Order: sequence, then C-alpha cells, then structure tokens
Amino acid sequence: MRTYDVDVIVIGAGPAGLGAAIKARENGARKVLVLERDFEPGGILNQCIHNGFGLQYFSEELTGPEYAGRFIRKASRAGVEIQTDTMVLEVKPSRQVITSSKRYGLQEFKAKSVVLAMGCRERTRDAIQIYGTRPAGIFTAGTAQRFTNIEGFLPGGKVVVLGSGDIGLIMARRMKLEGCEVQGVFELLPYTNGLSRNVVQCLNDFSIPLYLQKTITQVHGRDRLEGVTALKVDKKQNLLPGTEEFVQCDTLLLSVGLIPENELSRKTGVEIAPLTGGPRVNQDRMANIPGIFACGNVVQVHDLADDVTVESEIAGIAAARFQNGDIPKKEQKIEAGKGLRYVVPQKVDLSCSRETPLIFFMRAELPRREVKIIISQERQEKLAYPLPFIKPGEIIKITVPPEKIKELQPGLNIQVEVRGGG
Amino acid sequence: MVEKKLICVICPVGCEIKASFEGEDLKEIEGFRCAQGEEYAREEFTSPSRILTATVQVNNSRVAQLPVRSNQPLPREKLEEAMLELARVSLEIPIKEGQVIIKDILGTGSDMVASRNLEK
Repeated sequence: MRTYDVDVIVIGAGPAGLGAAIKARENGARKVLVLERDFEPGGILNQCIHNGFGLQYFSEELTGPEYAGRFIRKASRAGVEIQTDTMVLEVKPSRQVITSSKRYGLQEFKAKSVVLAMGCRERTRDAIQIYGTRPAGIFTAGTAQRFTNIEGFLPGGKVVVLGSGDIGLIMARRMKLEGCEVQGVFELLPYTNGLSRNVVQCLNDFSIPLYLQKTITQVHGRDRLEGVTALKVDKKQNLLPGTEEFVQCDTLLLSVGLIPENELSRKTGVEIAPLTGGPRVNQDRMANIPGIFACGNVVQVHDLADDVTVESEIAGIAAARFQNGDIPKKEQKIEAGKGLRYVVPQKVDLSCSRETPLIFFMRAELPRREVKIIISQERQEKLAYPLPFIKPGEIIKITVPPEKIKELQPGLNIQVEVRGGG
Repeated sequence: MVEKKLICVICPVGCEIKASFEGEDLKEIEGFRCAQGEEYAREEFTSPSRILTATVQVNNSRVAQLPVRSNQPLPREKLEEAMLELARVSLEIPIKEGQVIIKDILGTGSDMVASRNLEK
C-alpha cells in the first residue's frame, strides 16, 4: 500500500466537498485532495436537473448540474485535486485515510486535516415498514431520479409517490413529463413539507392529486408491483382501519426522509448528535476529534444546496487554518430551547477571535408566525432576531456578525429559543 | 364575472390572491402584500409560464442523458408538447454547457440549452 502526505483530505465531491476544498486551497492549504466514489464530481446535483439552485449564493436560478459545474470548474482553477472512482474505507482518528480504487488499489493518505462531506442517504421501505411482498418497482425517489436523469431508464409506467417533500414533488412532475401516469402523491402529515412553489408547479400544473393524511401500508404483486394499499390517518398519525383503498400502480417512489451518512464518521469515533444524525460540531465545523471537520448534509439535512455551500466554506477555511494551531479550545454548549428541534453548531468557543460571522442553522418544531429567535446566556437575553414565520420544513439561518458576537460572553453556554408568535 | 384564486409562491408567507375576470379580461386583483406578488399573480392568472428542465439522449457517453433547460420560460400549456420535441433528439459528445440543443422550440422564442458539459 502506498502512502501519501496531504494537507487537507475531503471525503465526497458534492457541493459540500467542493465548497470546502476550494476554500481550503484559497486559505493556504497546499495539497488538497477530494476523494469521490462516483465516476465524476458533482454528487447528487448531477441528477437534480430541475432549476431552483443558486438563488441565494449566485443570485440567479440554476439547475443542479449548472450549480455543480460552477464549483467543479472553480475547484480545478484553484488547484484542488479530485480522485474519482475511489471508496474511502476508513478514517483513523490520527487522520490517516485508507481508500480502495480499481485504478490505484489500496492507498493511504496522511492528512493534516480531514473534512467529512459524504452527504446523506434516503430512507427506504424498511425504515417505514411497509408490509407485503418484495416485487420489483419500489424505488427511493432519488434512485428513480438517477435512473431517469443520468442512466436513461424509466423506472415504470404507472407511478405512486409516497412523501410530499420537495424530492417527491419534483419526481412526480418528472415522471409525468416523461409520459408516466402519476396516480398521486400521498402524505402522512396534514401539510406538505415541500415548498409551495413545488406544489403549484409540480402537482397543480399537471393535475396530479395530493392526498394529505393518507399513507401506504402494503404493497401487492409477486414479480412486479401491481398496486398499493392506501389508508387514512388521524391527527396523531394513527391508521384508521376501514379506510383501506387499493391503488393500482407498477411503481412506488418513496420520498420519506433523508439520513446523514455517518458510517465512516462513527467508525472513526466522531460523536454524533442524535437530533441531527450528524457530527456534533463547533463554529468551525470541527468534530470532537481535533483536525476532523464536517459540513453539508453529513452534519444536518439542509433544504438548499446554497446553505450547504455556506457551511462547507466555513469548514474548508478552518481545515486549512488547523495546521497553524488556530482552533477553538474552550468550547461552550449551544442548546436548542423552546420551539426548536436542534441548533447547529452545537458548541462554540467565543474567546477564539474570528473576523467571520457566526452562522446558526436551526429547525423549528412547529409552524408559527411573527416570532423572535432569542439568543441568551444564563437566562439573559443577548440577541433577538424577529422572523415573519417559521416552519419545520424550512431551515432557519441566523447570521451573527462579528461586532454582535462581542455581546456574547465567552465561557458561558448559549441558549437559542423561539419566543412569541401564534 | 368569474373569480379565480391562487397562492403566491414568491416567498413563504403564501398570500392568497384573488382575481375577477370578465371573459378573458382580468378586471380586479387583490390579496397580495408586495409588488412582486402582484406581478407574479397577474402573470400567473393571464399567461403562466415555466422554465422547462428535462433530459435528452446521448449515445457515446457514460452519462446516458444530457440535462437540458429552456433559457426562457415557456407557456405552461406547451410543456408537454416540448417534451415530445426533446424525445426526438439524439446527440454525440462532446457537448458544452450552454450549447443550443433546440433553437426556438415550438416557435416560443426560447432555446433548449445543455445544462452541463459532457466530455469524451
């Protein structure tokens, strides 16, 4: 096995990995290597052919491949190396990275810092326990998206979608445009978690029905899917027996949630926060192991690629600076209080001077209007950010500029909560 | 007088906007809270249009489909017809991002362009 010395190793060449790698190069890291298991960089953006990317970061509306293309070209100009068709087998806490690839065999990289940017995976049929046979025709929405948009295969002809998040809505439209019959989108909750724009442009435009408070409990068919059983649920998501309905279809697309992909991180000993499913990180996006950073959907499932880029740039800068010993040391906790499911980062060292803003990402527990996000220490309100509305489906991003960070006292824990509203 | 409703999608507030029509003519519009919302609603009520994104076949590439987009919004009722035009396309690589794949599709004035590079 050959051994190579590298300044920064980035695992994954999606938006998070590319964003981090570019910033690491721009901030003084000499050799930056991105490892990617697919045959080309870009990650899932390559299959997200729809538009809507880049509105925040570039102030223009791009498709997924266009958004990826900008970062791929920028990485190349910045002198970032990308090794594709390469699987990372292990990341040691001492920052040795072992990989396997057809072309190079086993390799070992000794890195000064490592950035975890593996993204997330889709929940499958097993995760939501749909009863029945095991016929062909049941796909996660993302798998069907890859077949359709990259490989050139349609997954079926008569489609049911379970889950009304953005991926489910976008795939419903995609299947319809490719000539499939789309029977409907089923959603367990009384509301959709997708953007209203996607409800209008993906479903209403094509008269695709949206069934709220209805889920799928059983699949039928031996070799190929022949249909599903749909059932109503009450407000507490209990199934309502007697409301069963058979829906004929040969394809079921599941868009039932995403999980940060942390198999590698866990093996390394990276501490995982239960509510995000990702590494517990500080303001530099550094995990509990010095020199190991994480960003993007591996840390928390973001709504927008633009936010992934913002987070990955923080991690990339920090990964480059880590070599100079410029790291937070006395970290305090950042706690999610009333009305919030979680806050990222989960810890911060306020004595560590930064000319960059402190960016908090958080998710609301319930939809509310006219609220304030309060940042406090020892029950004393320090900063307040009014928001016209919050909802669980849309990540809240609070940017605290350096001059405001000074109002927070180093050495004390920080609480973030939602106040007011209805 | 016919009344139509829509939910504004410009921002997440989701204003409910109502419009009344006399035949084809938009007479009155209400419920918006900003100028962008009004502009969106007027267009959505009278001539809704969308950016079309899709894929076309490529023959000699590991990526078997080329993603394409319209460089201008198309009238909503033309989307499905435009898909049939795209289904007839078959390309060879290399292809450059921005390369025109179908010029002035269906006489709409909008070009379908490649949304990525595909190299050998």
